[in-house]
Amino acid sequence: MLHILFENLREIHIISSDVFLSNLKERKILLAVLYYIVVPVSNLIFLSFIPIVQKGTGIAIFQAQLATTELIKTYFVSFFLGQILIALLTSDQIAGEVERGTFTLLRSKPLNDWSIALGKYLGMLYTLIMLILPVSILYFVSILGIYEADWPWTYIKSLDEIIAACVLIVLLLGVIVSLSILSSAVFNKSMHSIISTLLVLFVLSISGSALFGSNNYFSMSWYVDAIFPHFFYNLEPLKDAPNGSVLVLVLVAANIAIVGLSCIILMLKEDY
Amino acid sequence: MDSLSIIETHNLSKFVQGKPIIFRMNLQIPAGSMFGLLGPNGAGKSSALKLITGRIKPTSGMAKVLGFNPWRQRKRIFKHVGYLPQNPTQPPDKTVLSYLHFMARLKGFSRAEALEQAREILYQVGLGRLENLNVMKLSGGQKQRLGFANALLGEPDILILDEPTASLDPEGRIYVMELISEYAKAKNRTVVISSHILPEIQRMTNHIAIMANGRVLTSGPMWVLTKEVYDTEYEVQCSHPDLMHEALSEVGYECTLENGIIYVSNLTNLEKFWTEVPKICADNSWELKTLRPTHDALERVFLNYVRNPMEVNST
Repeated sequence: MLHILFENLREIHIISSDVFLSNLKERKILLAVLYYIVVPVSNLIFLSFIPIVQKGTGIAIFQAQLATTELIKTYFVSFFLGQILIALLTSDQIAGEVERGTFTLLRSKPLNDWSIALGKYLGMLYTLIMLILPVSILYFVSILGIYEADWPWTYIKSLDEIIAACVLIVLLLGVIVSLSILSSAVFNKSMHSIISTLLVLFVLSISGSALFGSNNYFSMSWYVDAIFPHFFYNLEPLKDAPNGSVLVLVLVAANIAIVGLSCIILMLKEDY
Repeated sequence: MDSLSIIETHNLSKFVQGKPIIFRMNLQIPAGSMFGLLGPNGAGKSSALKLITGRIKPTSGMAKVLGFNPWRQRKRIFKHVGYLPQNPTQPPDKTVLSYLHFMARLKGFSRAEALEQAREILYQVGLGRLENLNVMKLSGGQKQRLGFANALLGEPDILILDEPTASLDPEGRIYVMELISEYAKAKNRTVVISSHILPEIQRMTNHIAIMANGRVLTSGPMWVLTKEVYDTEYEVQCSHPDLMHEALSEVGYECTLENGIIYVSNLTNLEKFWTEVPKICADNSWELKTLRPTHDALERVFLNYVRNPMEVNST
């Protein structure tokens, strides 16, 4: 039993490492690096030029929370470059392999189909985490510095908030990546996969909250607004917002369900 | 399942949009054989191999490879099977070595073993000096060799090759055919090859199945299928073709002369023909250069079945 588990984990690790390393060589990744790093850096530069009236620990924490929340919304919630880049990078992971014909050779090795789907998902997640997470943490810490929070205590006390933000970033990222992997497993052409991912993200980002009201599980904006105040203990949570851990569980379940569905689709996929 | 059959299909069919691309295919591929799947373009050879390798799901019927169901147990099968699809494509971002190393890792080798295995096989297929070249820079033939190298990883018990020499130049074709034959003989492995090139199949295989329109028309050991072939058309080449043509016509043979070769058709008594032609040459002191059937035995079997399709399935 343990041997089979180890074998499957090994397969997933080999594929995810390959996806990660291949991504680093992709030109598209440069566009993502540019966007995910340039946005926070330019925000910080802008902030350092405007005169700051109030400084100190309380204001610094408030500003850091607010700015990081907005950054996460820009990256993952608004239907803008942040989401579009993830869709562009991820949606051809399986569909592109099918389109190029490399999927056949990948499938001619002793692998589970679900290892391929999971490996692709994790490989993309590693890549994007590597791109986004360090920058977001540095962004939060830099703002604490700009607003002159007490060193080092405020920084140490902010660790739980940073960890919570990281968890949220990974989960939101996971949802977008898993949706892209799902459409990549469904379609045999990269273009179809990219367009369908973008359509789904558009519905989730804009129509989700418009159709069902802003406070619902289909609105990614609500996740950020509702969950952050719980972790960022200095702020009041949104009215009627459920417990933060429930939302985390919902996001985890969404990740598992979407990746699981991708695995099933891939297992049933014929390779003509 | 027959205890000697390593691959077996029973009434295996695949329908796409209501049309059969494979219909009631019955095959038994013996362990250790060199099995050729022969048929014209569009006969269903690649689809048959896709069904056997679990790339597509059968609509009905049964397939077993080493006792496993290819569609449901693909992972188990590919531990023992090396597969070369038609026109294999490699990822464009990799070098020859990194690609084969990755595939060897997926086959279950550790990093160091995979590297060693990849280098060894690249050398075997004649790509050793190109290991650092990007796969995009390889020629069609070199890509095919790399695909073949990928199929050889882990010394599989069964090699399934879909048109392995399709995009190779004559030299590469001979090289790969020799490589396949050597591999099968040295390791006593089973090799399944699909091709529409008769001489290739004849040269490499000892068992064949002839397919047309998604059906297996006949299958069995090559010697069994060709032993009853009766050649009715012969070609004769000698030092005096004009005179030989006249002599044969006088004896009563239907023959034509084209480019110095005499084509004799509608032969009814081969024994007599085989005696008379050398005798005419000897009596006139002409040099007999060639006396052979216009079509060889396999070609004759193939044309007989493909032109007059009738499902036989000798196995």
